[in-house]
Amino acid sequence: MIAGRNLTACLAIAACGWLFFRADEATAQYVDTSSGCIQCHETALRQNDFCPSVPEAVWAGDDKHRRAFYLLHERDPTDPQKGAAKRELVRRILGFELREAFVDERYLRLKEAGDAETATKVRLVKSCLRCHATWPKEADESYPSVPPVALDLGVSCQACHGAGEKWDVTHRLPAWRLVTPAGKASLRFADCRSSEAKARLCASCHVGDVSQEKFVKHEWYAAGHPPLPSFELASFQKQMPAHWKSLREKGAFAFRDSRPADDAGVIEGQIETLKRNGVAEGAIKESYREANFPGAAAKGLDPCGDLAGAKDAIVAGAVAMQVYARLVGDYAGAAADSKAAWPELALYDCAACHHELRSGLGVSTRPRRNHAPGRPPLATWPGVLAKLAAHQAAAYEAAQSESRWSLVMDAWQKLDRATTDRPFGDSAAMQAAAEQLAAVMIRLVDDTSNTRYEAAAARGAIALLTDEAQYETNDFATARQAGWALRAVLGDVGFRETDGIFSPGGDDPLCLTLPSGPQRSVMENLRRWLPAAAKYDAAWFRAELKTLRKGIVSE
Amino acid sequence: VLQRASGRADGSEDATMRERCAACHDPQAPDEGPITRSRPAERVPRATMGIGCESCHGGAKDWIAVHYERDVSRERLKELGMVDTKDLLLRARQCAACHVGSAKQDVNHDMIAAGHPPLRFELASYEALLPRKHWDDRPRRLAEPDYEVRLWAAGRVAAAEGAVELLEGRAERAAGDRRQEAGLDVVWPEFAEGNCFACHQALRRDAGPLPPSTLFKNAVGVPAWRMWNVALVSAAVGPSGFVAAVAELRAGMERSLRPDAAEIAGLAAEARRRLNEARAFADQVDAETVLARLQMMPRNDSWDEACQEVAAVVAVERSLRDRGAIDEDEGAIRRLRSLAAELRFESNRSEWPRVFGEARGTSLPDVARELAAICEELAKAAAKERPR
Repeated sequence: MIAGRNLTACLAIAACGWLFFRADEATAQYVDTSSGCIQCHETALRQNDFCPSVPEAVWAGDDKHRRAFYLLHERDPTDPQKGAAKRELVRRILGFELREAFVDERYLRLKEAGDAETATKVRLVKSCLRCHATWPKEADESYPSVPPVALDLGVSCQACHGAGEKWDVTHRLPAWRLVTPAGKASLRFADCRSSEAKARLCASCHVGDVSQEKFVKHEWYAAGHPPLPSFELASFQKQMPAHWKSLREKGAFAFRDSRPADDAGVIEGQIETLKRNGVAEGAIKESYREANFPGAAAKGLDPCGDLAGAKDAIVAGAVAMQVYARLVGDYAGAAADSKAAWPELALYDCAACHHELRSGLGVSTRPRRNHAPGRPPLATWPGVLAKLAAHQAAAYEAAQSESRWSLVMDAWQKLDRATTDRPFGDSAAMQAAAEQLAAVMIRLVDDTSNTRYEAAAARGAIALLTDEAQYETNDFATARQAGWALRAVLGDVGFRETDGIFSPGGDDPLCLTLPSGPQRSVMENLRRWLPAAAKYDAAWFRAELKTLRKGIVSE
Repeated sequence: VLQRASGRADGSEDATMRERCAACHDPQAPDEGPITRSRPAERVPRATMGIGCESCHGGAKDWIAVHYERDVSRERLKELGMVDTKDLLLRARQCAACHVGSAKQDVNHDMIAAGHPPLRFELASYEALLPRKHWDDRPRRLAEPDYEVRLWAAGRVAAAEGAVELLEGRAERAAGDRRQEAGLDVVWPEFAEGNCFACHQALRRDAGPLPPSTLFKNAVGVPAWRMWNVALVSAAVGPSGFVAAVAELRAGMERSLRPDAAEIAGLAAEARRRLNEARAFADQVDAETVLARLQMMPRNDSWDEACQEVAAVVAVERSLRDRGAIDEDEGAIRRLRSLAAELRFESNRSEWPRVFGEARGTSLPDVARELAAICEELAKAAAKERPR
């Protein structure tokens, strides 16, 4: 049922005939974040059965994305030294002051690329802002010099949800829930609901995407950019913290299963407004389920009741490997075409080189490899959750799971050979192998997205993740992925005190706790997780897995 | 190590890799083995002899029966094929062939990653550490007080020769774009040429006591060329074309992550030629000369060079002591020992110099300053040399 105050608002919106969007427009415009987004989303008054939280309050108050630009620049009157240190770090990374790329002191407009030096500075700064603010590459045409959204707002609403001009009004209508993701995308509204879409969005920065100019070079890492940790969606969004609820948490919201009664013609009015604003008639369905999960019922699936943590961890695990393969492939391809420098050390596994040396038996504590030792390999961490996804796609049936995983393994090993056949690998061979792996992963993501996420899936996931023989436990980042995913899945099935898992005596040797909230600094957190990675004790992790396995079985 | 370095999925050993190991671990071919009536050469199995007499002294077939005769001359034994290990440079080369490498003796990064210890050779220190040596150098020390410093100088020259020859061989094979040659895999770039600590350091929030400028040579993160084997050659041989040639070679190696193999082969060959012209000067070097050269050299902050400099000053100190210019209790050796302790690795099998430890109060510039102070003290002592 729609609350009365929302009905009034909807009628007012439906009357706005001037809201037609221009279908011929090349790129959408961004709405003013403060008046267009925050005004509605900042108070509990706008809460309803679909949007039961106060997104803006969570984002502005607790989410580090809000402060992403401040990592590049901040004038803190109470702590001038902190601001100076940030500016110096950025100067070291870029080779020039951030300010040099801007016309003004308030970072309102980038300089025109008049000469080669300025053009380079502007290009480099823009590539920072792709992830530290709201300035996606696709917006460049409409916003070449002035940011679409004030940089101070960091990674704000439209960075994830898409440029708001065409859907700003329509998304306020309850009938918007009847529009398919494709129908919403036609108005530039990005799907942030499905695990796959969320994972792609987050991984574009947290893993990297060359095509979107979101890529941290080794040169920048060496100058002080924090290393990007491995990426596990369920834990990252929980600790962000998320400003939304999962479909399971939302419960039975209006439009979920069918259209409510519409005696007053309110819904019809909303649908007319949707159409007038460019939503195709065929994109408006009878229910949220039909719009978002066509055919699910026929397959016996109930996506609205999926265990959200398990689904996010597993689907995003497969997405992360696909995004990583694409990153490697795109970069290697550009290098093979002499359009990018080669080798680029940021593509490889940081821990393969960045470990302190150990004599004697130290070798046995290193991750096991199937190639000549001493050649930098690609990252190991995407493997564990990709394997979990393969097993989920096969409903954890042993033979089928192994067969599904072998498809991934074959493609992955091919890429590994192309990478290690000679030091730094052959860029052309790497591109070809990475494309194959990405293609395999796209199919796996699709299959994994359309499976059941209920108790049996959680049991299968827990069984795999607590079995040390299933993945490379000598790798810190892999153990961390498994630890995060285990907490997410166990949380789904009501396992008590998930935060206590892998936390002996309150310590956090895998650094599963992320620096969320405005007070906890990403830079300060490096003092925790980098030493944790260096001191990682794989034997301890394996013992914890055994204990956990035994404990869960008894529970 | 052999299994891992063989890189076979089934864990079997590669015969070529076994031969490669044998070049240093079992160098005597059966037909060159120690010959006795009861143990003919053809019955001496490979991989059981280890490093035997003939590994260093040469095949004994022609000199075994005469080398113990009272009046046989060094010249005569040389003619019969015995390696003249009293010639310090020849001795040093015998050691360096394995402990540094040569065109055909190559411990590369693949092998080190498989568990082979990295090679860090310094002749005078190694000799001092050999327990129960089967030769007695005391009479020679008495007759030739600069023996220790000459031994050190020979070690420097042989190590540099070996390192440059090794690099030349690696680069030549890579430039030829051959997958394998003379039983050696062609691997390029060869990470064993780089400073280990450039890459092999745990990620950290702050660089701490690590001096990045000596580890990385440009923003991309090109590891610095490893200086262990070519450091201080100019202190051993004096001014020569080698210094400029090796500087060019170093610049070539540090220009990019994948240096041009053909260019490097040429630069390494040139450095080898320049060293060949200069090496004779190491034979007659004395403690004061080495000390003076060390004092004039620019200080460098790399751990490799700091270690080599400590070894050099230790050799100078020993020669001055052998000559009677200083006494053991004058303090220099005690100060050198504490410097060496700072440069040593952490315990627990860590290959991580203590001086890089986050909590250490001593930095590499501190080591350089202390070395300069010790050199000055030794130079003063040498200047007012006591009668022998």
